[in-house]
Amino acid sequence: MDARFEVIDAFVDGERVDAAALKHALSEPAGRDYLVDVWLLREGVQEEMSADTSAPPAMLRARAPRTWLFAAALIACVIGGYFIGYRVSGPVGPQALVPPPITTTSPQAPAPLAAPVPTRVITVQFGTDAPASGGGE
Amino acid sequence: MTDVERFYADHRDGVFRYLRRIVGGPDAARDLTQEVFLRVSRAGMPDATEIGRRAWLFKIARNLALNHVRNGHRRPMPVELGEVVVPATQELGFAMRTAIEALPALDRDVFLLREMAGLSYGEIATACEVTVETVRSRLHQARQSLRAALGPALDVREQRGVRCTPAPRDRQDS
Repeated sequence: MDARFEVIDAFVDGERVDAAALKHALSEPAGRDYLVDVWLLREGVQEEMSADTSAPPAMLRARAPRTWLFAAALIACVIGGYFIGYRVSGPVGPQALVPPPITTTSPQAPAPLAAPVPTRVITVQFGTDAPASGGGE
Repeated sequence: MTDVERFYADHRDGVFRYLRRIVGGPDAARDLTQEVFLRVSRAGMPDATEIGRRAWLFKIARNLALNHVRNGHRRPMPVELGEVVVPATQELGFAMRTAIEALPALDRDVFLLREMAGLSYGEIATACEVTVETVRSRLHQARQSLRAALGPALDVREQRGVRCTPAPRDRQDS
């Protein structure tokens, strides 16, 4: 790459340059063309930059407030929703949650069961038929 | 206003503009700009001159941008610079953007740090970890490439006239 005109770049960029080298570079028509083109390029860049509409946030700590704002909005929605619900459908609480009492008519309770009448009576007598000796003879 | 806040107010636009061109989308550039200054606030301001601080700031920005690109958040441009031939009627801004994206990485960095952020050659050298001579030659190379790519658009522009336009930081300093 031709480095003859680096001195022109440096001059345009506000750097200190060797005056003789600059004069020599600008003595050539190509050098003068290059000087003009460097300015034109810069103008183009400036225009390009002006198209940057999305500037960074104004404050350094912008992230934290954003989080807090989100949390605050969420809480406000929850509380607002509760009160709207309260107004529309009445209080929400243990009273409203208790189901209304259900009244039912229970059928007549049956009479207590009576014991059946015995058909015969068996009497057990101990010690009448048993052998006197007892045991295994 | 603390040192960091003042530093932020002075340089956020330059950092954002630079990052915008490196990473592409404005959202990513905005997030990275925030990240740059978060790192600055965590690390604390270095005990250096304003020029040294600026170079340090853009070194952080450049490293973050390189990591961002390296992690695949931005696809490399599929075009070669030679293919970026701009019709004379095309808007210079769009053509410029395309041509800048097609530059080799270091040439593009050097060019953007000079033209978008207004860093001096010494500051660019520190930010990019190269010598001032390298900055000088890369900047010249970048301008030659852009000039070749934008030739017709520059010719159209030339017919409208030219004026001496300082780089952003030069304007603020003067």
